[in-house]
Amino acid sequence: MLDVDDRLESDLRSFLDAIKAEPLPRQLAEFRPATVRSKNRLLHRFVGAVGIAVVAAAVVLFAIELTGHPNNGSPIPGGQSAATPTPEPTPPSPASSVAPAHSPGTPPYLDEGPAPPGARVLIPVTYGTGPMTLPRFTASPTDNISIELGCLSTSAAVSTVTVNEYDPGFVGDTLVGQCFGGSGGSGGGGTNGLGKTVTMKIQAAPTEKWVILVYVDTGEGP
Amino acid sequence: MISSAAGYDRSDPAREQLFDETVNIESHRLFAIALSILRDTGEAQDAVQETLVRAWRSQDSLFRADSPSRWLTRVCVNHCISRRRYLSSRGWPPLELIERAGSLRDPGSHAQSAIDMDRAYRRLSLKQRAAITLTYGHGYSDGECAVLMGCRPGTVRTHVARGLATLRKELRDA
Repeated sequence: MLDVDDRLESDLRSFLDAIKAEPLPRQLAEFRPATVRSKNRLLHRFVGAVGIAVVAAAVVLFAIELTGHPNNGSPIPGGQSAATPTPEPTPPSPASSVAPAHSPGTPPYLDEGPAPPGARVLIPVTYGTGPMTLPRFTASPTDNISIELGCLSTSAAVSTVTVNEYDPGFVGDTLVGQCFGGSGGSGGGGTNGLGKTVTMKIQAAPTEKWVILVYVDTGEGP
Repeated sequence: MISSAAGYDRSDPAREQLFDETVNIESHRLFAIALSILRDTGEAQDAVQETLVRAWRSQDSLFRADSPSRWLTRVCVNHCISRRRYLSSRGWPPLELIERAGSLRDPGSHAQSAIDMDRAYRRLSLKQRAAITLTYGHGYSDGECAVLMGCRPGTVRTHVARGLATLRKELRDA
């Protein structure tokens, strides 16, 4: 022990003795640690419960979100966007412009498939969404105009794609596509009864995707 | 009674009785040590309770120690130092309150020298208080203090020397 002057040591010991003489608080005398529950354990249980609740809520929200979406088909591989580009009016192209292969997320190409060899394409394969006016074309009254159309409905309700419904120049099928909760389609055809310029209009729901090909089958193919 | 190799059976009545006896014997001494270091009855009470809770949860360690008394003292001292440091780092209690607490003692129950000593004592650091309390108040040697405080004996002597120097200066200026 260090040397310390007598007075300081005496005062210090008296001071510490006075502290030792302080009575034990009653609460402490009656304290029994066996009755104390771990704060940390309670905290851990609380944190665990909160974590489970958050995960459960996330799962429920995800399920709700998932059921809110219709089946739009599988994603397009290779990073291709599922959104169908808006077609620009294009002039008639030669028969060599055949339809591209159908890819998931876009309407299927139905019935006959791409224009047959030797066909004269009036409207090349065109993808679109919702109503649209297609490029104008002219065909003779004797031309056998074929329309091939596919559509992909984005709703569970029946939706139709109507072509040329209001053009008096065209004589033929008007209802050429019908989708029901998924992909569907049909083909149609007719003649340019008046021999004038024909304007075709796509009548479809705003979110309905479609693909169309219009050509004249000349029968000159192999 | 050792119920298994893993440890004592806490539900064993004999074990519980032994623990209660140990607590009854040690509580007052632990409270005095905590009060000497913390100089606050409420905090000292909390420190002892926390020590006893830790002892209850670590009965294996407590009763396997060479001295359960020393085991409890070490836990209590270290808890007082760490707890007080935690509070001090958050500005509690403020220095003015410490000085007021020292000066508002009832002169009728304490001699003036005790009042001065209390005020001077509150100027010491926690480790200085612990070293002086264990050495002068409870008769531990430097080596024993070092074990209880988790430091070297030389460090204990340094804490005591600096604490005494501060007390001397404060009492001289009083």
